[in-house]
Order: sequence, then structure tokens, then C-alpha cells
Amino acid sequence: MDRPKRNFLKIAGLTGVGAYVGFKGAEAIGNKPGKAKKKLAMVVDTRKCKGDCPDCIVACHREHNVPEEHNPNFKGPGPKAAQGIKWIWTSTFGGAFHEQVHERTGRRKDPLIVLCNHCDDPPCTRVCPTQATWKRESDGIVTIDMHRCIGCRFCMAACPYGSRSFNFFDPRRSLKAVKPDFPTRTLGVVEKCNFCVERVSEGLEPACVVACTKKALAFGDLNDKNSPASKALVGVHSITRKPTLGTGPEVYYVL
Amino acid sequence: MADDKDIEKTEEKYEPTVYKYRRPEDGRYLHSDDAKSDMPLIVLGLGVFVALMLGATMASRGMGKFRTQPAIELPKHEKFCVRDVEFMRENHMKLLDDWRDQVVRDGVRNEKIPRRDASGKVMKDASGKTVYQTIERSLTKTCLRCHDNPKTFCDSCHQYAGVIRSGGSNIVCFHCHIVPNPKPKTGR
Repeated sequence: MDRPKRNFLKIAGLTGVGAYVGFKGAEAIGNKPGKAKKKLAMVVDTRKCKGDCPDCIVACHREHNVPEEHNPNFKGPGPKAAQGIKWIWTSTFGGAFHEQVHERTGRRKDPLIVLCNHCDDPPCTRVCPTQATWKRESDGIVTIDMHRCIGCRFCMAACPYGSRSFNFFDPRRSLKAVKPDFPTRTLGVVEKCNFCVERVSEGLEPACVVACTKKALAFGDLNDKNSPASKALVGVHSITRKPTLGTGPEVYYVL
Repeated sequence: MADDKDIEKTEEKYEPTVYKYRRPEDGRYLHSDDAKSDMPLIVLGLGVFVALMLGATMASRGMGKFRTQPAIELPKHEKFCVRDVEFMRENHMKLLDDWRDQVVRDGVRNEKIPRRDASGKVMKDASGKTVYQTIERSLTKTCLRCHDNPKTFCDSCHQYAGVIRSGGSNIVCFHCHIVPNPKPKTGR
């Protein structure tokens, strides 16, 4: 056997092995974020929702026993008393989409409903020292295990959307009526929107979606083309908050 | 003469000292058993001590009655728990932890348990297979549906066993989980 042929066979073999390993590696990296069976998402239609009614906020906070701790610094619309601890609340177009607006954007100061984005690659779950918060593999909901939360607030620092609130006080202090089926929180834990995980498990839609009288909110699995959320995104222009951070928000805003 | 007098004195008969615990007849050292006994005093003192300790214990247990079992209030409308009594007595805390992990971490909310008839026997269908019923793994919706007053159920036993501070519900479960329609401790 002459030299060049032997070398050629060696190189060909190594190339094959290299290609296989590279392919598998790329596949593994590609699988890491957002490759859930379901991909639950919410679509807020800002053509219908003007952010000026408190229906979804009231429904959510009543559903989840969210205490009405008063935040005196809050200046936006909506029930002011409910802004201390918030699961879904009112921001402004300019505040929520500061990357996407400019000085002359007409709706810059318009109110906008914001909530936890249940990101594809959530920074909050990565920093949790006790693994009390994580992204569910089955449906992509970013959830909190209150039993494990030690109240370190790393997740609050990591979240670029301010979606998480801390219980500085015993939440039952300011709860007038409680819904017994859903637990309150306790002093010193972090809480946020859970995409109504307890309702979704029973096949119901989230409380805010049901409560919206303008039918501006759509919820569903984006991997299923027939879900309300998928349908709401067809043929319209939609944006997400802070896309350059690469968190992959699952709350979409139709303009 | 002064010298003679001194000699006389030294020749006096030696009288040995009578010690308390030496018998005067033969000078033998007495054993404590032989001594004039302090036993009545000792018995009296012990009696006083025991009476005081018993009195204190009985007073703290309430009106002279020794409580041998914690007074727990059982559900009136339900006879059978999700597991049998022996299992629950020993393992309820493990079961609750398991339920918590299953529901919160894995999202598995329901489980199947054998259905029981009025006498407590596991029900079988015509072909001899066990009949199951589905229950929700939920403290508020399942446990508290029957044990509707944690003060007279959980707390009572936990105080007896000394696993919580006495007085009030100190079980951390109820810092977050809500007791539906909490009832006062008495008057039910």
C-alpha cells in the first residue's frame, strides 16, 4: 500500500468521527433551552387591551391570595393598593419596550399590562441557590417551590423584567378575604406569576385570560398550531420585551 | 514535792474517749446498720419529696389525672383515611413531604387509593379486582376536608409529643396553607 492512500484513509476516518461528534454536540447544545414538550405562552393584543382597566389584575390577585401591600411610589393606572406585591401589573409602553421605542413613538406613555415572561432561558432560575425556582420541562412554566425558597432575592436581581416580588411582611396582614384552595405565601419568600399552573393542570385557562372582558389575552401551547395563543400570533406584528437579552420571553405583545 | 505530784497525775487510769459510733460496752466501732437509726427521718423526707414531685406533676397535668393519650378529635363524617391508621401515625409527615414533592416539583396532583366499604374492607368488583378511587394530593382539599380543625387534631398530638411549642398552631404548614372555616378550640 502506498503512503498517500494510507494517509487519505486516515484523514477520511478522522473526518468522519469529527463530523459525528460535532453533529451530536451541536444537537445537545441546541436541545438545552426551550425544547419543552409544551411551550405555554400568552399573547397580549394591545389593540384591544389599553391597560386602563383592572379586571385581569384583580382576578389574578384574588385567585392567588396576593396581598394588597401599598406601594406609595407607584404612579401608574390600575389598583394602586395592589402594586406592592404584583403578579400582573401595569407598566408603560416606553418602560416595557425601551429598546423598541424612541422619542416620537406615539404610544410611549400608554399603559401596558406586564407579567412574568416565563422565558425560554430564564436567568432567575440559574441563580437560585436552593433550586427553589425552575422551568418546568413539561410545559415551560417558570415556577417557585415556596417550601424551598430561602428569600435570598438573587432571582429578583437576575430578572430583567422586575417580575418578582418579595414578602417583606406577613401577607395575611393585608389580605381581607382568602381563597382557601390556594395557599398564601409566608414572610420572607419571593413570589410571581405562575401562569396559573394550578388552573392549567385542571385544563382551565389562567384567571386573567378568563377575566378579560375585551378578550385581549390569549393563552396556549405555541407548539400546538390550533391553540388560542398560536392563532393570535398568525398574520400580525408582535414583539417581546428586551429581546436583545436572549431570555426568550413567552409573553408576546401584538401591536 | 512538786515532782511527786506530777508523777502521781500521770499514773492516773487512762480513760478512752467514747466516740459517738463506738459501743460503750466493748468499744467496738459501730456499723451504720447497728447505730441508732435515722431511718424514720429519712423515710419521712423521702415521703415529702415524692409527695411534692407527684403533686407538681399532677397539678401540671390537670386536676390530678394522668393523661396517658393526647386528646385528638377524629372526623365525624369520615371513617377511613388515605392510608391506614398505623401507617399514618408513623408516616404522616413522610407522606405529606412526598405529596408536596410530587405536586410541586413533578406536577402529579392525583393518586389512586383502594376504595373501602363501611366495614373498612377493600372493595372488589365482580372479577375480584380492587376498586380504586382517585384522590387529590392536597393538604387543604383532602386532609383538611375531614380533619377540619388542626388545633384539636395536629396540635393536640404534636404538643403531647413535644414536637411544637405549646399554645397556638405552630405547625409551619399553616403559615401558608389555609384552614377553611377555622373553628374555635371548643364548642363544636
